[in-house]
This record gives sequence, C-alpha cells and structure tokens, in this order.
Amino acid sequence: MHPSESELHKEAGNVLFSHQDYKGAIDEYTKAIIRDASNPVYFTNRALCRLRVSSFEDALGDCEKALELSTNNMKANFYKGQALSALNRPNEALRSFTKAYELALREKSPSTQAIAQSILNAKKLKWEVQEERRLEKEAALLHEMMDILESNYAKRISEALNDEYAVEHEKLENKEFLEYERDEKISLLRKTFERSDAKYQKREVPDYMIDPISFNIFYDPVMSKSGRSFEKSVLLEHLKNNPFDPFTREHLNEADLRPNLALKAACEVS
Amino acid sequence: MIGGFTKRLGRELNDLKNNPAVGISVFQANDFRIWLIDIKVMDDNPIYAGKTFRLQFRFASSYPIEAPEVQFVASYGIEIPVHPHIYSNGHICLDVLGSGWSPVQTVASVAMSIQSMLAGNDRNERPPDDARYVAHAPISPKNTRFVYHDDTV
Repeated sequence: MHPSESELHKEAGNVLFSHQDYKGAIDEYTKAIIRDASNPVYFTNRALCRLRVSSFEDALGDCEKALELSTNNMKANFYKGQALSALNRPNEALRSFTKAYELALREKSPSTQAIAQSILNAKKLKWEVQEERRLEKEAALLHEMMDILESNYAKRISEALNDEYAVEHEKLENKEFLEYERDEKISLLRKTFERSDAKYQKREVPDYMIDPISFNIFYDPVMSKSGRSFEKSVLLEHLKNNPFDPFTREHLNEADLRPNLALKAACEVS
Repeated sequence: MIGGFTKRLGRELNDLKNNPAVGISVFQANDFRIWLIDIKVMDDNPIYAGKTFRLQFRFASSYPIEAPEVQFVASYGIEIPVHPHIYSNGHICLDVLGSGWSPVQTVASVAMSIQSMLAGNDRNERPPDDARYVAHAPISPKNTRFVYHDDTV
C-alpha cells in the first residue's frame, strides 16, 4: 500500500524536526492535518515543534485536539502540561502531567522519568505563584495598616496642637511624643510582617523525602523488600539492567515493589 | 539529559564543598562532565604520608544509573599512588567502580572507598601485570574487565 499524502507530509515534517527546522516541520504537519484531521500524531508532533519555538498557546490547542481524538494520549498530556507550565498555569499543568505519568508508567515509556521531573517542577512553580500572591496580599495589608496608623496619628497630632488647655511648649512635646510613638508602631508592624515571612521562606526538605538516586523530592515513592524507598521511575531505570536493591544488592524486580503511600502524602503537603 | 540527573550532581557538589569528608576536597568542577577530587590518606601510612593524590571523575548522562569513570591522574607535584591495585596509568581495580556500583553511591562515597583502600595498604608495589596492562590498556578504565581477585589488599 502506498503511504497516504498526509503520511508523506508527516514523514517530511519528522525529517525537518530532526534537523531542528521547527518552523518547516510545523508547515508539513499542518499540510498533513489539512488532508487528514483524524490522526492525533500529527497534532502531537506539531505541538512539540510549537513548544520548541515557544508558541505555547498554539501548542496547547494542538494537544487539546489530540486529546479529543484520543483521550489516553500520553504525549498529548505531557506536551499539554509543558505548554501550561510555560503559560504560568501550574495547577492545570500538574493535572496534565499527572495523567501523562500514569499513562507513561502503564506503557513503560522512556519518558516516565522526565514526566516525574516535570511534576516536581510544576509543583515548585505552583508554590512560587502562590507565594508571590501571598506576598502581594500581605504587602497590600501592610500598607493599608500603615495608612490607618498614620491617619490615626495625624488626627491625634492635630488635636494635640489645637488643645486649648495646653501651653505652647506642651503642645510641641505632645506632638513629638505622638510622632515617636507612631514611628515605633510602624517599625514594629514592619518587623512583625518580616518575621512571618522568614517562616515561609525557609523550606528545608528533610532527607527522608529525598530519593537516594536522583536526589529529588519524592513524587511516587516505592519501597523495596529491604524497606528502603526510591522514586519509582528512577528505580525502574536502574532495575532495567541491574535487578538488585541498590542498598542491599538483594535480587529485586518490579513485582517486589510496593507503593509508599504515607511517604507520598508527606511529600505532597510539603 | 533524561530525567535531569544534573540536579543530583549539583547537590553532590554542594555537599562536597560545604560538608567535605576529612582528606577529600574538590580541586576542580567547572561542569557536570569531569571533576578533579584531591584525596589525602589521613592515618600515618608511611607509603602515602604527606602526599596528595588527584582523582578524575567522568560522568556520562546516565550517571548515577551507570558508574562514573574514575582514575588517578598525575599533575605537577602529584603522582599516581603506588598500590597493588592501582596501575601506573592511574587505572584502579576496585569493584565499586565496575560490577559493584550501585546508584546510591556518590562521588564522596567512592572517594572514601579509595581513600580507605590506600590507608589499609602496606605493600609499596604496583600490580604484577602493570607493564603489560599499561601497554595495552583502553583509554577508559571502564572498558577493562577487571577481575577482583584479591579482597585482602
């Protein structure tokens, strides 16, 4: 059977892609799609090219088309997560990566480990976005409180200056004292906000949350027969050629592994 | 690089610089491909007393799933230590560098294994087949299939 015209365009696109001509490859995949819009591979291939040239919105569109055509498309979910991360939408990115991870694990895809890494990066991005919002909110609160203090003291100072029963030097003394009190309170307020910040900024990850092979925080930890935990995709990579426990050198294969759900939960909240 | 193991080498380098083991120091690490690590033998073994030796670590992108390539290198004022398992071209016959490698080992743990291999040695001699091995040795010690015949040294 002759390959269809759309397949020929896809092949041409793949060649251009391998020569890093992403714009050229996008054109070829587009031609393939015009001739046959039912093949999700054309969309995922174009999505990957669009990620490479930083057209993230377009890449996202391609992934969504591919997912309409095949819901359980690992690559479409993976690329969608990448596009969403780049568009600063970490919550949605995380959902796509999580789906991609499950599919990759099932398919024993060589991308499993890269996806697990993307999940960790997306979590970090999510945390940073939250942290930025929190800081903005707190900064706004701090300024509002400072304004209240200042207008309150401005009122009291003007009252002190207009006090009919006080002599002139008493009025000035009262004014100076009120100004001193105001500045003290503002500095205390600032210090209190700074202190609460420091608590958030220091995030030391304990060793038991770190995979002993990749040195990353666990995402999907599994336990070996010796009771040690490893990141699943990393350990599977090791077991491919070396079927032994990295700590005890006991024989070990995938069927011996058990998920460590408590550790996974602990790593999720941190 | 698949899975981004550079994170791991970055953390290893931080640890080596910030909490170094006694007698182990980073001489040069400008990238994640080749590091030079200096080691000293801490007890007063007369064969190595007062000397510093230099280990070269080469990492493939598959590190730490695959072992690093480790050998001694000579430099100005730095020699290859004399030891029955260390060839005069710097190649080391040590199981953790080959079939005994496990991905939970680190640069620091390998350097410490080699340090203690030197500390425990009392024979001031090269391997018996040194001349023959060095004449035909592959450039990378990882291409040699060492036979770990003697655990006593």
